[in-house]
Amino acid sequence: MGAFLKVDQISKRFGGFYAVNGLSFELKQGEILGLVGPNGSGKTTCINVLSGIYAADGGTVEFDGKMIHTMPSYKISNIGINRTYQIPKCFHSLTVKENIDVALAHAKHKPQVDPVEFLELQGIMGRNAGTLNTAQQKTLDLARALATGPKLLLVDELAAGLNPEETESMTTKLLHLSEQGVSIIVVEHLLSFVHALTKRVIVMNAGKQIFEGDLESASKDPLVNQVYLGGDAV
Amino acid sequence: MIGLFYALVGLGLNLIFGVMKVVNLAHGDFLMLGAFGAYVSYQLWHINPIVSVLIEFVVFALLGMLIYFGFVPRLVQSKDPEMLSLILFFGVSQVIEALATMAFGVNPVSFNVNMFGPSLELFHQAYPSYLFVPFVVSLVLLALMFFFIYKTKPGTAIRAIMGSRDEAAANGISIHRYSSLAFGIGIGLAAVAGVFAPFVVGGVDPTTGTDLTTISFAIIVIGSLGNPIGTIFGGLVYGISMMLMQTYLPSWASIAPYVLLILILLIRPSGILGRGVRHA
Repeated sequence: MGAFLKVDQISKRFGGFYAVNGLSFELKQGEILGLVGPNGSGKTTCINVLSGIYAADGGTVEFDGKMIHTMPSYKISNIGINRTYQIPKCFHSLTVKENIDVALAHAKHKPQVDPVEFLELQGIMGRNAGTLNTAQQKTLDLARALATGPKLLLVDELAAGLNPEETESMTTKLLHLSEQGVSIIVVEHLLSFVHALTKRVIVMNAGKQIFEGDLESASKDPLVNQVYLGGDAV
Repeated sequence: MIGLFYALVGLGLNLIFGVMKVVNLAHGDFLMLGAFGAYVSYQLWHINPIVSVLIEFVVFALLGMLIYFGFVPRLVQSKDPEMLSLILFFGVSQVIEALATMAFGVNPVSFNVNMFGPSLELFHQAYPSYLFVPFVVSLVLLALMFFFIYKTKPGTAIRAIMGSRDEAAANGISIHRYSSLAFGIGIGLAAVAGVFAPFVVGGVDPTTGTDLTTISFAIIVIGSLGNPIGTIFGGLVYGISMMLMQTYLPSWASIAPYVLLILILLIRPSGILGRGVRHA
């Protein structure tokens, strides 16, 4: 199976600072990729470029045969890439049902799953999103993304703030989506969550890829150890 | 009765602020232009102001969309769009006022208050038709606006952008398409409210725009910034307080709404209908 997503040498600069610098990788349909690295390594910026929040300063992104690196974010959503946010940006003044209805109303693809049933939101459908706790807002954010029927899902720090049971449940759900053919990029600090989801991770530092492979090998990589633990490479 | 008219006065401003976080300091000037548009249409072609409502809404909505694409996309990309929009639309306000003075002169214009016919009697109470007609038109327009905002797909998109631009874009909503629509509707509503301004607030001249902008701000802050339902509430509070003061303390009437505004800002800065949210 060929690459579904092809990221080639993308860069994003803020002033003179390169948040992402020449990053390249490929992703197959239904594959899960973990994007890990210390704070400020460029993981979220990468997600922001892929989802059209930021325009790339260099490089190309090809998704499902289309070049998307110059598209605005709403068009990227319409062609089947959606995302969740590290800090959920739900419509606080709308109810959970209205939040999901907005996505369903503007979706260009049929959802792979019923987001309400899949994420067990039935009990809070009438509540205003602004009154939900962190875990509930993150779940709603994912439900909203799933309502658009994404072929590629970008999840940013989804496990942060979830308790172990919620994290395990979320792992099962993401694996199910992957089996349904949804490709997923997981940006995460919680490495056990990434480990449960995929064998393939990219470790980033200072905007660049410093390692690609499985987490176990990454933990033995001298450069990865250096950026995570500091000091000399072991 | 005039509370609903004032709700219409503020609704366009609140819609624009809610969707784009742009402070349209020229809002009152578009009201003033709406008033002059109706006046000129009546004087030259005998077009009834009620008919002018439809014409002006379309013309000013299109004008608003042009203004949007000329200014707003650049504004919202700046670091402080609210402050920049204050300065930019203050300039737009001054330009409109100067052009209106050149075109219409400095004398106030007004309509014959009997043009809509005699007073109507309802529940043993006489209502002057020059206030009843703006009331009915405001009621119909507000109802249509609420149907649009809460029951249609573009309205849902506009509410979504009001909630979060990034989240709305992530839902596949074109921010510029729907923001320009909201901006056009906001300007269109201002012009429509302006059609009836000579009946409700008295004679209109090119400087009236500044006063009308201040009144509009009082209304939307009393209700809640960015909350369309709050605007109706703000309009009612403003209208009732004005009427009460004009009845019992007429010499203080003009400052009463602003005292109310200051009190609300001190006691409840989010507006009477404003509410807090829990952020993750």
